[in-house]
Amino acid sequence: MSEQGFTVDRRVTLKWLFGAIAASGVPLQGAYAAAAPAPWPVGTPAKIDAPGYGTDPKMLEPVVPWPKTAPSAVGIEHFIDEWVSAPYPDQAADRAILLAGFEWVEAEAKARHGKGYAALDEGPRATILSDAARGGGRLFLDRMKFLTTGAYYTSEAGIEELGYIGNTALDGDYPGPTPEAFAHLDRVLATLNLKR
Amino acid sequence: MDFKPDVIVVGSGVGGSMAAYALGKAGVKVAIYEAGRHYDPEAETPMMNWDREAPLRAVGTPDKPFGYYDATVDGGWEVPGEPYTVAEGSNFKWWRSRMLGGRTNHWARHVPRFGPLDFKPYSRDGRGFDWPIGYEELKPWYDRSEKLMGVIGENIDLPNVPHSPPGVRQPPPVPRVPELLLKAACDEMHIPCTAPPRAVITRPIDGRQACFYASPCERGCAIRANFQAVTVLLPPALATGNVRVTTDAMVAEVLVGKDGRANGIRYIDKKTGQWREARAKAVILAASACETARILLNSKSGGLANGSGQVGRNLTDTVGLGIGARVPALEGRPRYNEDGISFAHVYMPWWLDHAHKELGFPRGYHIEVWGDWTKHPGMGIGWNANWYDGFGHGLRDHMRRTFGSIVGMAGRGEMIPNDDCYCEVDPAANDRWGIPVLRFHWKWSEHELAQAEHMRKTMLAIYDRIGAKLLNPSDAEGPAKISAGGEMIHELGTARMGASARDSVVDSYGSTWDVPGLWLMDGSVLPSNPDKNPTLSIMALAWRGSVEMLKRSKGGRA
Repeated sequence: MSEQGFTVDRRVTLKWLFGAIAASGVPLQGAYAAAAPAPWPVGTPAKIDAPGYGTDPKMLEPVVPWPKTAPSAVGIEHFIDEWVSAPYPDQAADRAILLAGFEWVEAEAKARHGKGYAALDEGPRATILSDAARGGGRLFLDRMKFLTTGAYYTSEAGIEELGYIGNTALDGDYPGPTPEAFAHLDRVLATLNLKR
Repeated sequence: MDFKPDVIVVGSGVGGSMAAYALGKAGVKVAIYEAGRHYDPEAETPMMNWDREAPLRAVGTPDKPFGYYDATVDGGWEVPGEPYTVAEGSNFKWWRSRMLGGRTNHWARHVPRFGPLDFKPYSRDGRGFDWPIGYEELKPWYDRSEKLMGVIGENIDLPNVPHSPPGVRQPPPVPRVPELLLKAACDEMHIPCTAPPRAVITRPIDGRQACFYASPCERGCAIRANFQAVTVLLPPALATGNVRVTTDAMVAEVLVGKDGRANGIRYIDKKTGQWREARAKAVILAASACETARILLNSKSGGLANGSGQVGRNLTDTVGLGIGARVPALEGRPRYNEDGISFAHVYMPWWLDHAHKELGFPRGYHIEVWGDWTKHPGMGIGWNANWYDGFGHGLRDHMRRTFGSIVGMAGRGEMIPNDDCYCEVDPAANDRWGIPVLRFHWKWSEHELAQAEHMRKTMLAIYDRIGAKLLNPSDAEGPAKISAGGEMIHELGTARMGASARDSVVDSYGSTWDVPGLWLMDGSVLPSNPDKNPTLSIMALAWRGSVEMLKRSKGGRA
């Protein structure tokens, strides 16, 4: 697998991949159902021979020897770039999976449409992703889903979208569930024939 | 300033800090030597930081195994320059916490008292080793320790789960929706489900603020609402003026005078690499069960205080098994603040002490609870995406709906000491300073494997009752995926107490039978490892032992 010449477009591709996976209006449900084999690149990307952040990093002001995502931005593509640039075993394994996937997606786009994936319209992008899911790219798409949703739903916008309430100091005793939450629980318990 | 200590304490975790507190308050000059660095949670804790502010969204890495914001610094499963070895065929992991306060900076703060049965396992069924004391002898020290530590919880009527007297434990927080659902299932199945004893305070004590129900405890606590030796025990100990701390001091051996008394230590100053010695009238080792055994074994050929041959033997850990599930009934529920005390507000204590013969395994377990609803969303939420078949808008709906629907259960069971589990000095491996390292041997017995299988079936039954789907479907088939030795970070027993010098290393107060002036006050002395997490018991024993040390010193015997 080659990385040469691809890294230039990686962030752009990632941005569009994230768009297709988590934000696009194109529904791809059912893509996993079929399982027609397709050629899928394999290979071992160059090992990142860099130190980690060490066993005693500055927790209040993190500094890392790789490009770190700005916490204020959603920045999914930056985050995934950070992820695959980190010198740890889990991230190295993902790096091999993701780079193979980027290569396949990019090659398919060029073969089918004569231009890179990021330059395609939403429809062709979705088709390529669906085809990837049907072939050897299931793991690639699962890791992309994990990373893009993980990154998004830990961002300020994503946390707001989830409706999470917390990470704020409370006065007095812990208040516990709201009346609405209890009402929901009671409905659940009734369905399960259980009692509070 | 010239500071001549009466007592040297090795290690600043719960045992060492407790000893320093008790002795310092009594006017004894104490010098603590800690292998790790100084640490100040009030200044260093990232209390309200979001995971996105950390590298890699704060996920665990080999540098920070429990996540970027975990309080542990300069520690972990692997410590640079401080290796250990594991014998062929054994699976053992050794967690170290090289920092002021030791392991009290990374723990679940689950602090049950040991029960009457836990002190007399051999008398019960011929397995394990009896303590030289029973529950009643340790009870007053549990009362005192709970008050000083700051513990929440509620009493439950089970024969081996002792009550705490009125006014000792603080009120626990109310349960949250997922916990109430579990409790409803457990109630029907006659499995007790109650508020756990946790070292978190809901009422201010001793100048400490009550929990404000935000920030995961594992990060440490800048408002001192949870127990860390460095926020609860060391400040009052240091305030006496009688206690001094030397950090970055890696103790290699205990020094013994011509009269046979322990009178000092030899250590590496990690900052300079210089070997140094320190002297006192007595030495307390509280370096953690395995590190204490290592120091004893490296202090003398054949091991110091090892006339019994028990140093390094009888190594135990908690039996661990975790199974996670998603609960469709909890999807799409109304949001409210579920941070709570960051740990679960319920747990299931062992309820079948009377039935071991029928069960086919001799010791019990408790079940702890976790979920994706006790903290702001972390990177783990990404796993939810992988059980949605597809992409696009449907995926976003799925992510919103499923957040807060994950429930986990963690079985934590008693292990009986066995001849296959021990540590020894590796004759061929040294650490970066040339100090011989430990080699671990480990093999679970049939008792633990059968117990873990019962854990698995219990959890499956509870999950089944609430319609939950296992995150890892292979958990449904078994066999139970039991933890590695050491993985629960509850190593105990490597210098056990007993009634006789023949088969134990220390008496019930931690005083070594063989070496006057040498005391042990950490997990090494606990002869059994019941399903109850050990920190409170280590603290109670260290306090009791320190007071005995004072008594004996007045009689000239310490």
